[in-house]
Amino acid sequence: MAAHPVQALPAASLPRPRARLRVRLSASHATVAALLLPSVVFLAAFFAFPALGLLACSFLTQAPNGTLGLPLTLEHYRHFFDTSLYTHVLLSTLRISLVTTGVGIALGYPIALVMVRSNPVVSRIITMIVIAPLIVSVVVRTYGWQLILANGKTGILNWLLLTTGLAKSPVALLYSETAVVIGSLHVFYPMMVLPLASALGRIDPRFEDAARTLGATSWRIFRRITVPLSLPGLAVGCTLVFSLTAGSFVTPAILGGSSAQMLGMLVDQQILVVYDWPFGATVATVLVAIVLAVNIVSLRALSLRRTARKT
Amino acid sequence: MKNRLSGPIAWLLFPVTVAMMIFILAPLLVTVAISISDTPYVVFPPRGFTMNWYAKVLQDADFQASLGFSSLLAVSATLGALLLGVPAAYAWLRAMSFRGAGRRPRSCSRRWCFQC
Repeated sequence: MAAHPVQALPAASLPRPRARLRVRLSASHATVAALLLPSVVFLAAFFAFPALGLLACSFLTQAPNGTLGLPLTLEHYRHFFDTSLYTHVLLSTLRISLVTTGVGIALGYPIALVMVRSNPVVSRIITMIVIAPLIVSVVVRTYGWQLILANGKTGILNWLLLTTGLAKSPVALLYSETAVVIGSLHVFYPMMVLPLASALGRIDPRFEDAARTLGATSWRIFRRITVPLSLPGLAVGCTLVFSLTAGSFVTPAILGGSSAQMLGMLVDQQILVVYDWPFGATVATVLVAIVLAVNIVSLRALSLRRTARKT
Repeated sequence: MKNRLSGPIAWLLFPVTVAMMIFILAPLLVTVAISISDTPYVVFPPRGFTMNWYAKVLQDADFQASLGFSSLLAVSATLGALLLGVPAAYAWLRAMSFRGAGRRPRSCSRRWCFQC
């Protein structure tokens, strides 16, 4: 690595691009407000208003004829947490999301490293393959997994296992939490790899070189330099994968069936089948609250760790 | 080469990478393979080769209607996102220039930097 000699220049002779930039970027607050207005109105009307409406709905009482009204009640929340069926679905949602995120981290790092560190041709091909599924609909990909995981001899994975002699009898994978984890991992894998790769790409390779010249092993370099410096990307990846998996509907509906239910399916069922809007709204609120809580806690823990490291 | 992968780590990464590429592509390739299989039911490995299913789908009125509607939806969603998003992104950048222009150290050019 050839160091570029830095020559001291007299301050007056330096061009001052920053000043010009500042002038060009400054705009009146009114212009900014006017430009933001359409998006704000759109989000207020089509996101905030319905979301708050659903939240409010979860505290209302549904009359036998289907109309919603007073009195305000916490009965639906009590019903949710008192019924073992629903808490079971809640726990299974959390378990599936956590396992998907964990496996995503374990399988995300190697690919992100290869994407960033291998030769340009290989890394371009891998990047394309990682991104490719994003342009294919989730429904199509999930049905593809259904074909692969199908129970009995018709499943492609079972055919492979039986043909190669790895298994004596067909394994039953479909309609289990494992199937949902596999499907979710496939759907949300790019959301883990891409932020990780972008964080890894920003790491100055000289840090790793310095550690290596000081005698650190590859594993120690990975643990003490690569991982801490890629934490921002990891945080983004984990947040995306966990939140999206917890809220997913298509994947558990197709691959989980009735034995691996998730909260998203419960919301759908309560609102579209049972017509119990307040209870559906309650389930939705619990889902959003838990996803938010997990994200806030994990991001807080991460930033605490970072500040602790710095001081 | 300092930026390249080498040594035992590379040997570990290679099989993992290949496995993940198969994992990513498998459901897509399987779907394509089944679509040209000459059997009315799912069978693997696919038997025979036929483009009949494609001919059938393309002639199907429901498919044509769905394709039209999907395309319309995709185009209008893109246009809508552009109309709302371009001014918002522009405004966001300008709003960021109001505050904190000097707060970040010069050495860090990233706007959403976790480190500084």
